Amino acid sequence: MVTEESVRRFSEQCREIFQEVRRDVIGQTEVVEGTIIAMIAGGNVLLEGVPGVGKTRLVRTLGRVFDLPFSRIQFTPDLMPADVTGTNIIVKDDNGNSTFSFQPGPVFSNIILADEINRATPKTQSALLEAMQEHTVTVMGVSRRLKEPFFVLATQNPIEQDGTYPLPEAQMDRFMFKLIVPNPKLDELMAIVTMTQETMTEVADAVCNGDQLLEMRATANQIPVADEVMRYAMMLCSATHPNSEYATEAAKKYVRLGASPRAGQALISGAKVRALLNGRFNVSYSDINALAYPVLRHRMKLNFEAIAERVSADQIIGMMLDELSKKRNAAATVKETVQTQDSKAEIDTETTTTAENDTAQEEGVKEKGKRGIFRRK
Amino acid sequence: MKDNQNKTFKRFYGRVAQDSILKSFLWGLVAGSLAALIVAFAAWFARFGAGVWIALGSFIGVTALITVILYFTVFRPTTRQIAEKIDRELGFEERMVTMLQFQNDDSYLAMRQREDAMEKLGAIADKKAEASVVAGASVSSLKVGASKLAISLASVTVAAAVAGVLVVGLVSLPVPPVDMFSISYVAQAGGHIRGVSEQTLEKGENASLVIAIADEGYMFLEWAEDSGKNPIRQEKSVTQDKVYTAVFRLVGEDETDVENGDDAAISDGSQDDGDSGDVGQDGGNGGNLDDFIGTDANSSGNSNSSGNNSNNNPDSLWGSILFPPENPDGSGSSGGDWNPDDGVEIPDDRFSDGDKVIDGDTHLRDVFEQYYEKIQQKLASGEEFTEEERKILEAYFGAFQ
Repeated sequence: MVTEESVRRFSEQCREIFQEVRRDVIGQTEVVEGTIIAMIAGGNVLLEGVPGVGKTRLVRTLGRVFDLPFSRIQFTPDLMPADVTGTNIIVKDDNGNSTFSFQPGPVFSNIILADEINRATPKTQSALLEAMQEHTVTVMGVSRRLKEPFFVLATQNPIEQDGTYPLPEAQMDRFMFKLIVPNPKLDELMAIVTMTQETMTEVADAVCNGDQLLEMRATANQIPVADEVMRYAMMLCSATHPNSEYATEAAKKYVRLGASPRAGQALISGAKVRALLNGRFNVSYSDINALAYPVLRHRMKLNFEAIAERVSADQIIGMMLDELSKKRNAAATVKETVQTQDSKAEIDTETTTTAENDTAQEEGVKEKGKRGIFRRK
Repeated sequence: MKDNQNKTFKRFYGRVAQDSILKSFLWGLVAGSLAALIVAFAAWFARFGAGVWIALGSFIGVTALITVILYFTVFRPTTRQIAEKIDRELGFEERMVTMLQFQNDDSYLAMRQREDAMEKLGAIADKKAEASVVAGASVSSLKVGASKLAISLASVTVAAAVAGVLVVGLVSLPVPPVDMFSISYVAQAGGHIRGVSEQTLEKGENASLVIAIADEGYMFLEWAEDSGKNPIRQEKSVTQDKVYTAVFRLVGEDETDVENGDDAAISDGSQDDGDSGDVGQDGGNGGNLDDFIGTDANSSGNSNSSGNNSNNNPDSLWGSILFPPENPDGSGSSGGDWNPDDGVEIPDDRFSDGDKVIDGDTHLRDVFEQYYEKIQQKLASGEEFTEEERKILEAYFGAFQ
């Protein structure tokens, strides 16, 4: 049951979490916020960025801040599913008899860093499917429950194409957010280099344990959502489907397959956390609009026309939000309109996993305010 | 808290309701204008004189009715709409809407949310908040309302102009079809119709005057349809198609008529019935009406009255005209009683060359000198005769009966 005390603790812990993360991760405000929101909401996150922008460091820092066991799995093409989930091995007991003993894999942790997840084979990638969705692992017919809270924070490199295996839609759908980690700004880059010249040691302290995180999750879950806002979120999900009655013009033109119902769940769960983070006790349209990008960008399958015209998923989401805002209310708040337009304007290009990566390699990811520079307090 | 909520919404309700009333009124104006236009057309078509007032009444009535209906069925603001407007205009991020939906939720977060919403609202000065909400609502409403107002004003202007034009009749517009009737005057052998013999008239209109004039040797007997004895005929308030046939007979043909004296020996020009004696005009100079008509005006309306008459008196005007002393008395011109049994025919040289005739009829210009041209013209055109002229005609033609 949520009390005033739990709300107060929520606010304090969030403040401390951000404070500690900023000690080790410089910039990347939206990425940090998105990751923390997903973790509080109980979802998995896919971080996409070019090498060296701090994806792994961010995940390790979060592991330290939440004082949760942290496992790193480096996905390579030769990685086997058993290397992820664990396997039965033959051991000799005290009597010298051989028996099978289950050796848990690195997935048996609270925070899993699946580094370069797109390098592993689909078979190995699928090993994470059950763990990500159901928080269980089944090996040789035996299901074992994973410890709560359980998160998978995966990373992938948008540039590398040779020897990579794009994640299947089923697995992509299990990531609550897909966050684009941008290149650091100049001043942030300078700060990173200055800091790392001195030390690479991470200094963030633990400020929240697993139980507290679960309590924060329960608190955020109680945030009320007005029917209009709920309806708007569901309409947004339906709008991604080209054959839906709520389909937007952008979806009809550029989308082959829209978002699943998990997108609606992710929107509402994440919006509740975001609202409480911002000191609000209700979900608003702005929360939905802000989370539309990380929730939907990896859940829509674009058609050939979008690829041919080099229209990114974020641009399509921006068009959908515009269209829905106009439909909802011609006199929408300036804040919402500006937010939508800014989101469209600030995304000039986006690294994708499509065949356009040549251009993406040159330009990289350009997003305002998304920089990853490591700094030491 | 609930009381505070109700007070909050009530505070905004009035102002937002005004906005709704304005919207309803603008739509009402549009509808009223259309109604006025339709009524004006109907009044014009029905030729109803008070059409402009009816159109005005329709405009006012329909405007009021539509305004009321639209307000209560469409535009009246609900609490939820007010909450949405507050959120939208003040940037409350759906605080008010959520507060309204969860107003009965007693959980801590719901209560906390309500407090947060009220705190946020209270942080803004009352008047400013109201103004922002109403202004924000009104800006969008005014944008729409301005267009509606323009349409309404345009409708009202057009409706009033058209209504005024149609009802007042400032512009000639094609006359809607009305009932038309034809009146025909035909003459049997022995005479002809002087005036417009084929007349097409609207319902209720008066026909133009015609005269059944006997040819030489004949006299007008009657109108066959109604046995009217007056050769001068003018139908009043025509309501049906009619054909009137003038019947003539030879002078002296009907012995009975002769005995009754209601036959006038026109052809011989020597005898008139009593009416002609009514004409007491100096035949030489065509003087005033009284003189022309004569002292025995009581029989002027009986142009075909039978019986002895002073026309046979050579001293009367008609007598002097018709029975000039110098004329042979073949037709009784001496003023004595003419007896058709005498079988005397009217000599061809009954009148001198100086006598003028109207299309072959035998009478003297002198009699009609001051009226001649005018009567000629009116008979040809079918123009309405004045009372004076009609008396002259009746007196004159009665003299031939």
